[in-house]
Amino acid sequence: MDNKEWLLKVENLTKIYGEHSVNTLDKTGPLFNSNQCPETGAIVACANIDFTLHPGEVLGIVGESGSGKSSLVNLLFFDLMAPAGSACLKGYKNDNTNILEVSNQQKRFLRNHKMGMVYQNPRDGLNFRFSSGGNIAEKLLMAGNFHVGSIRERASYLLESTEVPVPRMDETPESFSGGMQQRVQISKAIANNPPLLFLDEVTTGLDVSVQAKVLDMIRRLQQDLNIAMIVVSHDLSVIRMLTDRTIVMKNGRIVEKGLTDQILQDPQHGYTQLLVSSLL
Amino acid sequence: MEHTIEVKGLSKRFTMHILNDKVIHAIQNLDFFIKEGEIVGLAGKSGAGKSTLIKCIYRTCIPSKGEIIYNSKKFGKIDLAKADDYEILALRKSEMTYCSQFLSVIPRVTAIDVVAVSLVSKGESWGNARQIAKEYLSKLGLDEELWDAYPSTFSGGEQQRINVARAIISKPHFLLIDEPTASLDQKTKDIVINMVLDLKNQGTSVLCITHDPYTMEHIADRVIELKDGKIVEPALS
Amino acid sequence: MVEEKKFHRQFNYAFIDERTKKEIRRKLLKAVCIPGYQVPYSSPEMPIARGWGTGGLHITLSLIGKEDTFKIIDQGSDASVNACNLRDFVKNTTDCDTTFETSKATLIQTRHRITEEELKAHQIMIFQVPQPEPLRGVERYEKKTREMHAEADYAKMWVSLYESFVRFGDIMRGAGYPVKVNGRYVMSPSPIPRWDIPNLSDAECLYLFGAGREKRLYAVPPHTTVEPLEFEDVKFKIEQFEGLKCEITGEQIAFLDELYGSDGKTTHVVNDSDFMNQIKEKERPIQWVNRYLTEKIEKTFNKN
Repeated sequence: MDNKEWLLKVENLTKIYGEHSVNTLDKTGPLFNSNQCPETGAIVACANIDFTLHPGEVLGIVGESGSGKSSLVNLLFFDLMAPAGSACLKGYKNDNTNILEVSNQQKRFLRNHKMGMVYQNPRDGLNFRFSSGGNIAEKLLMAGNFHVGSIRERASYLLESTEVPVPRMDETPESFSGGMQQRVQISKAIANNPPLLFLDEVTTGLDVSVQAKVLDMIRRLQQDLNIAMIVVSHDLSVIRMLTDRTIVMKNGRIVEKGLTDQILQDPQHGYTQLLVSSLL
Repeated sequence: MEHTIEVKGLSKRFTMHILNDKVIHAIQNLDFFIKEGEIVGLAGKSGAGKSTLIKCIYRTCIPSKGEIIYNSKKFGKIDLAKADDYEILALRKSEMTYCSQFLSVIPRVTAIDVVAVSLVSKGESWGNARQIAKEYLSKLGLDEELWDAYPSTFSGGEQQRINVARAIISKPHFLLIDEPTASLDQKTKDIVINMVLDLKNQGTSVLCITHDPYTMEHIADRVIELKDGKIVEPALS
Repeated sequence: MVEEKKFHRQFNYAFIDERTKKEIRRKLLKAVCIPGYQVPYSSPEMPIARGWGTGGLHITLSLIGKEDTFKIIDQGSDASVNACNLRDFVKNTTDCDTTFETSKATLIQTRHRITEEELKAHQIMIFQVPQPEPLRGVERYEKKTREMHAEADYAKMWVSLYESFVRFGDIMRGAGYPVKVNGRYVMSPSPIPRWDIPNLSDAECLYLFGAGREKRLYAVPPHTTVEPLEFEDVKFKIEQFEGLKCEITGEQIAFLDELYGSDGKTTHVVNDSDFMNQIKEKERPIQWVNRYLTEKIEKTFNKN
């Protein structure tokens, strides 16, 4: 079968805050129900993370707060630095270059062309001093588009497809509602047609109807543009709605991975069973 | 004739870690096969393990023991019990569909699109897919007014029709159905039965759970009865 | 003899000590080697307040020799208070010649203008820079702006130009229009009008920039490309002065100042005082040649 098709390969990704000893990884994790090393006090954000993402696939990462799920995507998007382990991106430098170790300039290239990120808080992904259009323009300018007319055309198209009223593109996101800010953020993230998009708790904190609208839009974009996505959420219904496969994390480790319907109906790990049985 | 599916020594037990590792044996040591173009009915009381068996084959549940050899048109023989997630996803997309007892759909997607999306994921354009979806829904007698409405608000019968349409529209090679005709009127029941028989004639193999004797009689070539997770008698009909 | 003179003066030649001059000269060499790159330097305080031309003075005093002829302008004028005071200061500490005439000067210190007359290879123009960091308006942290320069990450600068266009229909930068030097560093040209920007590019003379408060200096060496940042469809423009001319000389092709009379009327005069004097008294000096000026000349003469 065509298993050779992949987009992102993550191997042994580990990030530890503070000084760690040889036993740090052995004495933390779900077995100890702790991500703090008892010897040195170092915090294990995530450890030994392995997974592969296929083109156009939607992968869910679920877990309680502090489980390392946000750290994981922040590491892959270079918001957090200096992890151990490797991540390779298909189509980038012979497919076998560890993107975690390339120069800052290369990382910025990857952030602009190969990946997009949508943060829980729109303030992390948008510059509130610039207009919504300007925020999108930033991405396009970085990709070498220096034509104001075509920048505005593309920005209008993106805002339209994320259902943000185009006449408001020259306002700052400050005056927008939370759901609209989130949609502007998504427009910005997909401005250069990246093959990979990270969504970190994008609907957390939005009210139900707005949440639904944002989720609808993400799903539609995924179908239309065939973007691979990593969806981080503590909310199993978001995961169920968006993803094909799911990774369950606890204390910085992967405790279980599988098909989303399998994770929800036949969870193997005790923690996942607890999580699923807590679902309202 | 080739066997589309061959199950050998299949067992599934659920270990409930949050209930002091309580173990439930759902199905035990099942052996059976389904030939190409054959419809096998699955009978038994509630809790006999019928749904678990279907879920094991669809891999919503992970089998604890045994083999499920599926003869794929595209990929050759695959053990569904051990295949990796991507193989399962590829099969679900192209040749194996599951029509569950309950409709679980994404909110705020119209009835037409719920049905059409299974064709779109096979590479059909939205326009064509919607056209075909309309044909199926009208054959199944779903009110035209409802086509652009959201199925989560539909009655049980209406949801059932959408569920059936969604599963068979892509003309799967292997179809798993759980109670397709419950909560349907006699007329629609016949339509559904005929649709499944149509598929059978095109070479589709079907594993079908039903409590309804009428459906069982008209649809199944063969009936397997489960009791307490074991096969009672592989009866021929 | 020398000792006596030094004692009499009570300070070193050109005021600052030789070690500091050496430090500044070394940093100037670095600045010339990396056009547009801001080089940090160190120096003692000057006897004038920061923000009044200390950066320019540091460079001037570390370069000036006995044979130099010094000219200083403030907004184009040789006779403004700031220019006069600094001229006196340089004169008192060096005894070198000073002049108002652009062509005779070897060192020209300036605030907010480039001379209207073209500068030659033997001349150095030294800018007093109030804010050396072109990115400060879009990023407040020095650490970040340095990273941005290092990685040539100028997206935010571009977005601010885009925003300006979106809000006002044009890129509204009157003075200090950001430029890219030698295809690499984005540089603040100090608050000179857009009129002067094209003259930075491919010039015969050496341009040096000193910011005394931030202790940064940078340079545009002769024959270096300096391009104003512009979009493919929104271009850089110089000031136009459509249909206006100098009240005193009738000059049309020069940067004009707007003056308000007591009767409420506005009049215009040539901003560069030496240029105006030359036109009045002798002949018209040779002006810079750049395509923006050529366009303007064509436009003006076709109209008349």
